[in-house]
Amino acid sequence: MGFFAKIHLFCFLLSYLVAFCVEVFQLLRQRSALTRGILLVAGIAGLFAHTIYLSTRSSNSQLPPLVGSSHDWLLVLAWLGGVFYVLLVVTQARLAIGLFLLPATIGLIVMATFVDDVAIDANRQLAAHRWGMLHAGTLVIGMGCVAAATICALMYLLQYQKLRGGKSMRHRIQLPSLEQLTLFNRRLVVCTVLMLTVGLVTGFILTRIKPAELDSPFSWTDPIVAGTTLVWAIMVGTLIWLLTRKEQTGRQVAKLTFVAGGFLLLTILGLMLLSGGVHGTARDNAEGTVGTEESAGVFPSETGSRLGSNS
Amino acid sequence: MNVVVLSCNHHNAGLELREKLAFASEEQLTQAYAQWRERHPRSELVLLSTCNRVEIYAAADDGDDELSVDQLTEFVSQFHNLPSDEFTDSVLSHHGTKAVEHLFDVVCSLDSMVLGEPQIVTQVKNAYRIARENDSCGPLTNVLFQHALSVSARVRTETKLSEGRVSIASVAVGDFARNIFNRFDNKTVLVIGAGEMAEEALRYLRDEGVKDIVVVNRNRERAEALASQFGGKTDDFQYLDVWLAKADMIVSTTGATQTVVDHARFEAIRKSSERKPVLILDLGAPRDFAHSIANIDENVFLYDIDALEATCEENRQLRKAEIKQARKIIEQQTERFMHEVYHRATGPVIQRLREQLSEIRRSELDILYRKNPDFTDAQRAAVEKTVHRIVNKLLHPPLKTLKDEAKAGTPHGLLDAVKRLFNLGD
Repeated sequence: MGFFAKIHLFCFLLSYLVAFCVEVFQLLRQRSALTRGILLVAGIAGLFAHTIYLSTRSSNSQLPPLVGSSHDWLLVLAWLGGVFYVLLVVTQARLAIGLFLLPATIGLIVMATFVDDVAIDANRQLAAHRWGMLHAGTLVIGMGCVAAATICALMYLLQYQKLRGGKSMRHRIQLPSLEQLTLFNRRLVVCTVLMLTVGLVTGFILTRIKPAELDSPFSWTDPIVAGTTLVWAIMVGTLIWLLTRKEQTGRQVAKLTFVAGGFLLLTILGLMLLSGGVHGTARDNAEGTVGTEESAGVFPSETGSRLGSNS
Repeated sequence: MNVVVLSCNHHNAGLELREKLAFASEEQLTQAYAQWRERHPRSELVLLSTCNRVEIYAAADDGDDELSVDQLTEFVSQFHNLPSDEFTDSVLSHHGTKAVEHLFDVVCSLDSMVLGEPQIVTQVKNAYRIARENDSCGPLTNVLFQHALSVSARVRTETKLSEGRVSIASVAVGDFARNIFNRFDNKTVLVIGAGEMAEEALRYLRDEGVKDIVVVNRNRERAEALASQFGGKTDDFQYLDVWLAKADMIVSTTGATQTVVDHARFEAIRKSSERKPVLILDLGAPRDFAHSIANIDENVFLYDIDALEATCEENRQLRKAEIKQARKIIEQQTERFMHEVYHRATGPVIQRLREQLSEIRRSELDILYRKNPDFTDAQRAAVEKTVHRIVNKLLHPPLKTLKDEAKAGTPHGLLDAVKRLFNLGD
C-alpha cells in the first residue's frame, strides 16, 4: 500500500506521453512488433498507475472519484480515455486512433493539475445521495461521449480529406472507414444528449430536494449552469438535425459534431479553468478563502453543493 | 552439400518459353519426380512451377552424386521433349551458396514481378509439399526449404516489403473501398463492362463479402459469363441509370471511346436518389465517367485509373525502400544456413578426433596413476587439468582452420588430411 500511495499523477502522465511519442514514431517511421509492445506496456502501465492514483485519492477522501473534486472528476474522464486506448491497442492495432485519443487524455490530465483538488464537505452529501451519484456519473459519461464524438468527427474529416485526394503523408494514418465513423458519430451524439439531459435534470432535482443544504440559491446566470445548458441545447439541436434532416452527408454530420462537441468541451473545460480551479485558488480554499471555492463548481448541482459547503 | 538451381523466370524468359517449360499439373510433376529418381536415385529434387517462373532445385550430399547444370538441362529437355538449345540462353543457373540465396530471394518475393507479393510463399510451400509427397525430398532439401520459409516469415515481419497494395484492383478495394465502407455484405455493386479489370476487382470484392453484384454490359453474353462467375445478375444497358442510382459501388471498365456517364446525367440521377455514399472506380481508358462528377456532392467518391495508379506507385516505392533491409536479412540467413550445413559435414570428423584424443589422454593418465599410486586427489586433479589443457591447445589450430574453411564450403581436402593424419578412418 505504501508503494501505491507514492504513485503520482506524473507517473501515468509520463506513460501516456511515451505511448503518444511511440504513436507518432509509428506514423513517421515504422510500425513493428516492438513499437506495438511498447505501446501496450506504456498504455497498461499508465492505466494501472492512473487507477491506483484515483483509488488512493478516493480512499483518502472517503469519496468516490467522481465527486471528490474537479481534479478527480477530470482524471476520471481521462481514465475513460486510457481504458479505451488500451482496448484499442489490443483489438485494433493497425488503427492510429491513439494519435487522437492520447492528446485528449493527456490534455485532461494536464488540466487536472490546474483545478481544485480539495474534496469538500458538500460533495460528501452529494455522494451520499443517489441523485448525486447519478448526476455526476451521467455527466462524466456524457462528457466522455462528447469528447469521443469530437475525436470521431475529426477522424472523419481527415479520412474524408485523404479520400478526396489529400497529401500522401496522410495515407499513412490508418483510420476507421467513413461509414463506421458516421455510425459512431450518430450514436455518440444520441448518447451525449441522453447523458447530459439526465445529468442536468438530476442537477436541477438536487437543487430542489436539498434546498436547505444550499447556501445560495440556484441561478440561471451562474456561468457554469448557463454554459452547460447552452451546450446541451446545442447538442439537442444537433440531434434533432440528425434525426430530421432528409439529405445529410457524413461530412456534414462530422462538421457539425466537431463544432458542437469542440464548443462544448471548450466551454465546459474553459469555464472549469477560469472559474477558480487553479492552484492558487485551491491553496486559498485550503486556507479558508471560501469565496473562491464557491465558484469552482462545474455543473449545477456541484456548484450548489459547493455553495452549500459555505454555510 | 551440392545444390544446383536452374531458373527460367520472367526476368530472362518470355511467357511462351515459360509455358513450354512449365510443370503445369500435379500429375506432370509426379511424372517428372519419378523420372528424376530413376536417373539420380541418390539426389533430391524440388520443382517450383508458377506462371512467372519454372525452377528446378536439385541437391545431393557431397560424393553421393555429382550434380551439374548440364544434368538438369538434359532432364528438362528430355521431359518436355524440347531441344536444350531452345532454352539454355534464357535460363539462369546457380550453385551452392548462390543457389541457396536465390531460393531465399524467390520465397521472400524479391525476385517476383510484383515486389513483396504474398502468393509466392504459398507456391513454394506447395512445391515443397508435392516434392515430399513424391519422396523426392531428403535431409538437404528439407532443411533448405524449411529454412527458406522461415527466412520469408522473418523478412515479412521485420520489413515493410509486403505492406501496401500494388495492383490497381487491390488498391481500389483495399485502400479506397475499405476506407469508405465498413461492411460489404449489404452493398450493391454495379459493374459496367465485363473486362479483365472488372473481374479482378470483383474477386477482391467477393473476398470482402460482397453479395449483391449486377453486371451491365452492351454484350449480354459476356455480362452473364462474368456475373455467373461471382454469383451476380445482369441487366440490359438501357436500365443503367436505375442501377447507377441504386449502387453503392460502381466499377466501370468499358472499352468505350467516349464518356459513358456525363456530369448532367449523373447529377440528375443523384437528385432523384438518396444521395447515399457512392464509390465509383472508373477503370476505363479513356474514362467512362466525366471527371467533374466527383464534385456533384460530398458523397460521391470517384477514382480513375490515374488516381489508383498513383497510390500503387507510392506503395511500390515504399516497398523498394525495404529491399536493402530484406537483402541484409537474406545474406545473414544464407551465411548462417551454409555455416550450419558445412558444420554438419565437418562435425563427425571433429567429434571422432576429439574422442580419439580423449581416449589417449585417459589411457595415458591411467598408466601414470598406476605407476604413482601415492598421488593425492588434488594432485590427480591438477595433472588432469594440465593434460586437458594441452590437448585442447593442440586441437585448437586445426579445428579453427577447419571451421574457417567450412564457411566457404565443405573443406574436403582438409577433412581428408585430418582423417589420414590422425588415422580416423572413413
